[in-house]
This record gives sequence, structure tokens and C-alpha cells, in this order.
Amino acid sequence: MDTSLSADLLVETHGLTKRFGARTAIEGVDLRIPAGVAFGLLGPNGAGKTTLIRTLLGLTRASAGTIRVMGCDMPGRHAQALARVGAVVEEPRFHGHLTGRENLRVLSALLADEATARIPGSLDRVGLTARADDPVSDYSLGMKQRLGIARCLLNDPRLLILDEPMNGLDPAGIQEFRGLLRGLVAEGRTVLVSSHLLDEIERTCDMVAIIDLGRLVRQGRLSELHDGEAQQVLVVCDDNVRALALLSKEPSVKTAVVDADGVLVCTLTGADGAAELNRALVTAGLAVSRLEPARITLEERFLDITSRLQSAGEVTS
Amino acid sequence: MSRVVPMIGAEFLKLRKRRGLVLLSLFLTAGSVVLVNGVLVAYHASNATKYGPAGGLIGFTNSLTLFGIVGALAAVLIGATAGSQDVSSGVFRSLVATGQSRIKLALVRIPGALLLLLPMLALGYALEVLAAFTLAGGTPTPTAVDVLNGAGWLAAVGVLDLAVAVGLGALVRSRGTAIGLMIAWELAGSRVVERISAFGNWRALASTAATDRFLPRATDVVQLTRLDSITVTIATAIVVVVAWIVVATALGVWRTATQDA
Repeated sequence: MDTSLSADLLVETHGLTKRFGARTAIEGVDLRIPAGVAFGLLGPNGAGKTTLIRTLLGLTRASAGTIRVMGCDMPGRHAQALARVGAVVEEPRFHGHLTGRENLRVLSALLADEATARIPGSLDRVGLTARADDPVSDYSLGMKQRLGIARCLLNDPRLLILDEPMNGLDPAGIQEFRGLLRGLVAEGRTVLVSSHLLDEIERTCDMVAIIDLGRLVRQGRLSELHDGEAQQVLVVCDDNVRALALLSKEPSVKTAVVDADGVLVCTLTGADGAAELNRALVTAGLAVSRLEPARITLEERFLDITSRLQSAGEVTS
Repeated sequence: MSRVVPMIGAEFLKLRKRRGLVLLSLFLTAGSVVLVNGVLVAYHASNATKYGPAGGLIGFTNSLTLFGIVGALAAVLIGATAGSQDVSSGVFRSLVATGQSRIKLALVRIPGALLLLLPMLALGYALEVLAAFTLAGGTPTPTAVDVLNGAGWLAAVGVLDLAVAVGLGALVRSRGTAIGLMIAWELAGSRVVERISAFGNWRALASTAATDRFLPRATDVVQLTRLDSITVTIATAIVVVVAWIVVATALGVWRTATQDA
């Protein structure tokens, strides 16, 4: 194993598996989360994201595999591992009869002495100071989400683990949360965010892991997810019929179709080939007025990966 | 991480801020003493020949038994809440995610709950003793030994029921279920076991048989519930009370330490 790489990893799992009776929730997960990034854990509902997070935090025991958090083995050294980790798992839950401030006091009692002194700053950071002395039962879901973040900040975490933190937030709340999250990363903290909201992950995170059917199917920087994959090129020319016939015979073109707007959409067999495509069209005497790569969104990439996995699962099952 | 004292304080905070629980427990402890003595004073005032004074040794022992029942109920309410509130509110996983020891999380619930219960029992008992002397109406009053004995018995009942309720609350993870089971055992189950003669001296294992052994000697005056057929020595009673506390606490700790959060 590359030890220098391991030293920079805040979370590292090998073959992590969790079974509930006969049902396997996650299987053979090798997750690597480096320091100082916003890391998105992406997957459809029921993919195993929350189970993975709960296992990382020692909330449930792994059936097989190893976990290292902050360089400490879990669950053996869980106290050291979690000392600088803040987490909100599933929806943030509190004692409804206590105020926001009192809920933070309850949690700070479990942490280091400095945690209590951080309560005012944490509340201020998430914009809850004015409502800190109201009972949490009067809070909206968005306020509870923010109070959950404030609770995470009490131990000055190096790693924050936030499970579906944008659930229930309105657009303004999502935008505000995005800013908060990026601010935390800018301070050198690492944030693991699970979500099924692909757009949010793409906007917020530097790295992403895609999990589906309990298996980690891809992880890396967002840009890397697109590497080596077929590229789409949009073409506008003066004769779509001739262009379509020509491109259908090009070895670098996998498929070519004309969309509803009259734009020729070519899917290439590799990552390169746009220039070759242009040369072929021009050589054939066609006037090309537009030729541009189409950006494959994370959503398309995600659907491509997960549907392939599901197809494989259907075949094997 | 040695955070025991702040953690006990946090448990106390969670309980004392439950207004309904605090008011009900106050009524059961201090309020019930005032109510019962008020009624007895009214009866005595209406017909002094038929109804004796509210206080004195007899009034003290009568009220003490009732106080034991309602005090135990307050202990059960507070204990069951302390044992189950983290799980039922969904906060338990946040506590576990701090890396704090689950065993410690479970154990601090008992002292935290006692901080709420014991002052209430003390207040109620102080009122009880005050009534015994001020409302004696010339009848014999409890001795200092009776008063100390009564305090010890009440503390034993309170601590036992609270600790068992905390353990049971953590075990079943439901306040209502724990309260129901405890009341059923205290009011029916344990008393039925005490009366099944086939069990012989094993009946001493029933929690109420053990705690009744600590009833003040003065209660013999009014022939209260102690059953002569059960031989429970003080040493046996202490062992039984401690065993109930240890077993219930161990079950609660085991559940807290092993359950998925």
C-alpha cells in the first residue's frame, strides 16, 4: 500500500461490507477521502449511502472489512477517530423540549472543555443566534439542518459528515448552505456530503463517489469521471441528410442523430475525434457553422453508470 | 475522556426542562403529602372522635406508606424517561457519533435522574415529618430513629425503582412501555409473587418484599403490608435491592452498548 497516500486520507475503507440478516446493504466498499476537499457521496435512494456513513461513524458494526477514520482504526480507536469529526446522519434530530442552545450544551458535555465555549460562535456561524433560545420544537426543518451544522462545529472538526443535508431546504436555503459548506472547505476542513441531488453535488463538491446497489462503482475528481468516456459533439451544417449519411460511416462515430432542434448529435467512440469529424464534413463540401463538444452532465454520467450496474445485476441475478 | 460530571449535568438538564414531568413528579411527591394531610385535617376537624389527628406516629406511618407508592411512581416516571429519551428523540446517534463511550452514556443517566428525584422526595418527606409533629394533636410522635428509618426506606424505594426504570427504559427503548411494565410489576406482579406460598423464601427476591423490610418499625403499630410469612433479613433485603439495581442497569447498558444507533 502507498503509505504516503494513506497518511493524507481522512477516511479509508477496504472491503467494507454491512449485512442486515440476509440483506447486504453495502458490499466490498473501498472508499478513500483525502483531506481538504468537499467529497460527494452520490447514489439513488436505497443505494447504501446512509448505511455506509453509519458504519463509518461506528453507529452500526461492519460485517466485514476495515475502516480507518482520521488515521485510527474503527471501531477499536473510535474515541480518537471521532474526536475531531462532526456528523449529521439522516435528518438532524434534537430534544424538542430544549432550546437550540441547550441542545448544543447537551452535546458539548460529551466533548472537550472548549466545546462549550464554541457554542455562541457555532450558532452565529449558521445564523441561529437570534433563535437560539427558542425550543427546537418550534424550528423549521431548515433551522434544524443549520442547528445540526452548529452541533458539528462544536469539536472544531477536521472532517464533517453530512447525510442528505439539503433535504427540505428551499432554494435560498440550499444556496446559503452551499456557501457555508464551501466556507468550511476553504478553512481546510474536509466535508463528506451524501446526496441524491446530482446537481448539488456537481456544484458543491470537488470529488465524488458513486454508490449503487451497495457497491462503490466509481470515485475520483469530478473531471476524472468524464475521462476516457465517449464524447458527444453537436454539429450544425447546411445539409443534415448528407452529413448524417457521411458520419454514419465514420469509424470515430458511434451514433449520429438529428435532434428536435435540427442539431446533429454525434456520440464518438472515444474522448477525441471532434477535429477529425470536422475535417470529414468539410472535405465532403458541407458548410459547418457550428461544432462543439456537448458537456455530459454528472446526471447523465451517473445514470449511465448506475443503469449499467443495474443491467449487470439483472443479468447475474 | 473523563466527562462524567458534565454528562451528568446534561442528563439533569434534559430531565428538568421537561415541564410536564417535573410538575407531575412534584405533585406526586410534595403535592400528594399536602393533599393527603389536608384531607386528614379536614376529616379530623369535622369529627375528632371518629377521625384521629393527621399527624402523630399513626398519621406518619399511614402517610409514609402512601408516600412510598407515589414516590415510587415519580421515580418510575423520571427513570423511564431518562432511560429512553435519547433513543426516542433520535438524538442517541448524535451522541454516539462523538466517540464517547456508550457505557458511560448509559451509566450517567442514573445520577442525572437522581439529581431530579431525590430533592423532590426530600421535600415531600420533610413536609411529611413536619405534618407528623405539627398535626399530632397530643398523640405520640415519631422518634428520631423512626424518621431516619423512614428516610432510608424512602431512599431505597426511590433509588431502586428509578434505577430499574432507567435500565428498563433503555432496554425497551420506550418510555410508555417501561412505565407500564414497572407499574404492573410494582402494583401487581411483585405483590402476587409475594403471596404465592409455594415459592417459599424465594419470595424475598420480589423487589417489594425486599424494600418492605426497610419499612420503619413504627409501621408495625398500624400493621401495614409486611407479610410475616416471608423471612427477609436486612442483609438479604440489601442484597436483593442491589441485585435488582445491578441487573436492570446491566441490561440497560448492554442494550445501549450494542444497539444500532
